[in-house]
Amino acid sequence: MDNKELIRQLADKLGRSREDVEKLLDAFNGIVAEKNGMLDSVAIPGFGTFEAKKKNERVITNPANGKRMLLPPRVVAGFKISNVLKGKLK
Amino acid sequence: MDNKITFPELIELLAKATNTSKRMSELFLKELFATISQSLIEGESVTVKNLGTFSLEQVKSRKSVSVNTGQEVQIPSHNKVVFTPDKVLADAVNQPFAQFEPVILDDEVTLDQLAAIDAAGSDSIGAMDSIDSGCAMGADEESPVSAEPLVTPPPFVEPQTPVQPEVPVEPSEPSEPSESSETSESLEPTEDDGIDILDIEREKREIARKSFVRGLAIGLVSMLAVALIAVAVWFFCMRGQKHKIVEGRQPVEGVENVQVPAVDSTATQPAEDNTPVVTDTCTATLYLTRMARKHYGDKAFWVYIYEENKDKIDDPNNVAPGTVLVIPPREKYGIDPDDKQSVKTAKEKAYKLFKQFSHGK
Repeated sequence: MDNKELIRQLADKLGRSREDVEKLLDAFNGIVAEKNGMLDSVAIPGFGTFEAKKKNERVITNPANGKRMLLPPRVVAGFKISNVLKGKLK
Repeated sequence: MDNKITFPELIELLAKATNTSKRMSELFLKELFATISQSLIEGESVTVKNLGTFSLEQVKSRKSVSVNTGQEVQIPSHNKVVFTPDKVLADAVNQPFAQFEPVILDDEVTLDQLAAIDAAGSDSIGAMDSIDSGCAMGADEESPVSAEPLVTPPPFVEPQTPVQPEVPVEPSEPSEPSESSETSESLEPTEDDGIDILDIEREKREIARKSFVRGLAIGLVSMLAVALIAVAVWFFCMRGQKHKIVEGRQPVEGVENVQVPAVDSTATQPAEDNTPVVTDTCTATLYLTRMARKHYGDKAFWVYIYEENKDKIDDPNNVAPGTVLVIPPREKYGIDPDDKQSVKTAKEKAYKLFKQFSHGK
């Protein structure tokens, strides 16, 4: 299901216009991005948790030429599925 | 940091951000995730724009050992959800580190050296910090530069270039003898509110990077920069005899960093009547949030620095190094790091800006 289809279905179910739904969805994405950026997690009961993890910087070695590289630290967005949904998917 | 935003909190945030009722946003969120779940249960992957893709992956049946009994068990084949964050989300989340790129390490840089910086972060950052605070709020540090190069403690830190032997007429009375203030500056520990991990890493990378830039190239560049600064200083001093040069805006000598030179000289500006305007120069390691923390004690107030300098900043996430920014006085926007309300307003403003710019991408 792509974004369009998702918005169409949501608009149908909620009885709101697509623009409204899009606005809400955008705002939700913004909240997730903002909170995850602060390394906070956003928990959705019955669905899962959007959580960002900080990866430390590390030194890797290129096996081809033996050069060492210092990779920068980063924050990676992630999602942990809730046990409820996990059970349903089995 | 590490807070969990619960569902009721999320509803409230969403209602506030979109100006809808809490009921509506709750309904929306529930429907949204019910729809996504339903689609996943039906075996279809779901893509949400600007958030990411939830896709299903088949896990094959495999053997394992039960932890309790030690018997072999067969784990049945099942589906698992793989979430791939959208580029927009990934970039927004990684924004604090976005400026960094992988660096090829020289042979001479050992892991011990990097680790040593981690451990005794404050010492080795001294050199870096002298640049930061030097071009920042320097009411008392406008001493002319001594002719001899500074000796920096760690061996792998770029030695500072000797600068401006021909220091011209000093306009305003220097508060201290140059040499002592200079050395005390470089020994000064870093930030008042302590170095957090983020900062240490930043400095560390800075040092690692610097070790490459050494050599003929930087020699030439810094010589050029020295000449530039000298000319700039001379130029301003000539003017300074008519106007008065603002105190504390003396060019700082720190030419050791390639991005910094010549920037400092631009910081010198004619006096503005009575109240000296506080300015600060952006560098690769000193940007809006860090500037706000330095001047106001809380990084949330970066929005006000941005508002004051809107004409110079296209995107607050990406301020070009070398941009000279005016730091507004606290009274102007009611800035008070101890006042929760004030911090909150700033954060709300930041959120609006954040939305504005993340949509623009």
